[in-house]
Amino acid sequence: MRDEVHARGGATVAVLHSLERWEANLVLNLRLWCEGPAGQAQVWNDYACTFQSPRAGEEMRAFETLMTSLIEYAVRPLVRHAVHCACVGSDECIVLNLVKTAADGHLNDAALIATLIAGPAKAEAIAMLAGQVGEGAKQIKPKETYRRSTDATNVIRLH
Amino acid sequence: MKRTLATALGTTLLAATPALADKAAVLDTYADIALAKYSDSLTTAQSLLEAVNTLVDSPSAEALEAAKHAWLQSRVPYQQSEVYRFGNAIVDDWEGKVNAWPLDEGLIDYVDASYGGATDENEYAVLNVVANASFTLSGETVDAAAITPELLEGALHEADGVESNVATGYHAIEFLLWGQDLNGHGPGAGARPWTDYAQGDACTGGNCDRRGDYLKAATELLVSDLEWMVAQWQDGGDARAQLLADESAGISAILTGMGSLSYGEQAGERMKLGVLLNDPEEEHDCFADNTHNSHFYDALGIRNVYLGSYTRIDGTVVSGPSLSALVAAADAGVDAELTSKLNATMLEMSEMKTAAEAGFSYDMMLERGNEAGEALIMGAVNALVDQTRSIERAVATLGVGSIDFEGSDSLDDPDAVFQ
Repeated sequence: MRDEVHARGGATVAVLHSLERWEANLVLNLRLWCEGPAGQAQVWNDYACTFQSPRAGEEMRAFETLMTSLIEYAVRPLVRHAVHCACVGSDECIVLNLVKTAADGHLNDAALIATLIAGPAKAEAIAMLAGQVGEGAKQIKPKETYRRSTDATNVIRLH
Repeated sequence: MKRTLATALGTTLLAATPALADKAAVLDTYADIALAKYSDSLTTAQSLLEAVNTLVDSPSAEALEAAKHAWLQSRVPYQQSEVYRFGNAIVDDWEGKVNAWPLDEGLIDYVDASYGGATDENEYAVLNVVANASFTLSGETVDAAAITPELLEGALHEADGVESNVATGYHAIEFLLWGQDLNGHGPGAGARPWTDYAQGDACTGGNCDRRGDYLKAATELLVSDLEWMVAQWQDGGDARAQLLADESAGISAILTGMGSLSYGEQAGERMKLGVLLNDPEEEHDCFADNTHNSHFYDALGIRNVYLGSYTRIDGTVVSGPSLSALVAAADAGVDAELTSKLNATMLEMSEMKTAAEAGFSYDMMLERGNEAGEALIMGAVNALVDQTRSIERAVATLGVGSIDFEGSDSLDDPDAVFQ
């Protein structure tokens, strides 16, 4: 079961470089947030550097609420890739498209996408939240680089 | 590499409908989180001991770096436990053994000439136990031929009644791994060579065997001290029993810990004082240049006690009915305000942590005239002070009586700092 879940939720469907910068940053923040406090500090820093108080706190809270909602209400364990992985998994892509669609104002479509993760009873609320997260995420200044200083400059690190 | 999202959950319960909270349930959550934090601290200290044993038994540059990494990892859960110190007498009475700071490191080992010598305040500031197998302490001859945990905690720690004679705990170990940070306000941490633990002709700094013995003894003592504290929070342990004995007093203990750590201890003594004095020695993890993490995880510990949710080092979450839910039931506005303030503090702390990890270290921030550094630190200080005001509102909302939070001259009477 675990391998099946990993295969289904983690299947590579895109690469970060093919995404818009704010989209790639959102995927990275999703991964970082799931890494625990050290990763969350980097997510919080994004909000702190982009928004003034108290909006920074509100946006950060919306992001955390979306993350905890997705995890709490998901019908199966969701799968993410490692922070530095260039691939985008299918679960990550669903979350990205959920946020993107909701932020574009297509809440009904976003709610349908949300049902790929959670039960229909929660889909509408998740879509609303995703819309707020998306509007904020589009304004976040993308991280300058994800390449570690020791990485060779002409090699793309896949995993 | 693929991972399930749920295996490394974050810290909050913001999405969930808050569990109905009564005082007893909130206290249970608080005690369960204490047990988890001290258990994680013990686990990481045991890993540190393994790394230290490897360093001492088979010294190498790699072994020293591994021990340093283990020390840094050990600070993550421990700092989140500091919110338990104030308000829980058992923790406060014990804390000085494991996290006393600042220290006169010349008591332990060799120091640079710029460090100076003995002072009127501390006759033993350069005692250098590593180099001396016998010495006189408070008029009595001490046999230090064998460096043992008993020697460190019995004869040396707070020797002559001087608090800065810190012979045990995280910071003594930190000094033995990193050495003095001689970079002042410049970049860089302490740079003790691994050869300080080498044997024979390769030994630098002298007395490498005794230095290794000291490091082992201090780390073994840290492990045993943490084992003791874990036991205090298990079912039937004294700390848990005292907390649960009186529900209102227990809730007061939680708020006392949050307020005192926020205000007097962290915002005042550990942060604002350094800004006032512009002294690179006024940083909590000064040898390792880990102060930004020390402050970050302290603040995170305050937040996760309030929200009733702690993410363990293995990614699992310990959570339950929270103080936040209890306050919300009494006054939702106060809870929203305090939660917002705690989040604002984490944003400020995150900025400071990120800047430090990008190369703008905490001692650089402390340099006089460094406006960006002062802004980063004071942003966090002001947020901590601000959240303390909201903690006071929570105290009033819950009607648990008057609570006196720890103060600090740095905040309450800055002129006194310079007298």
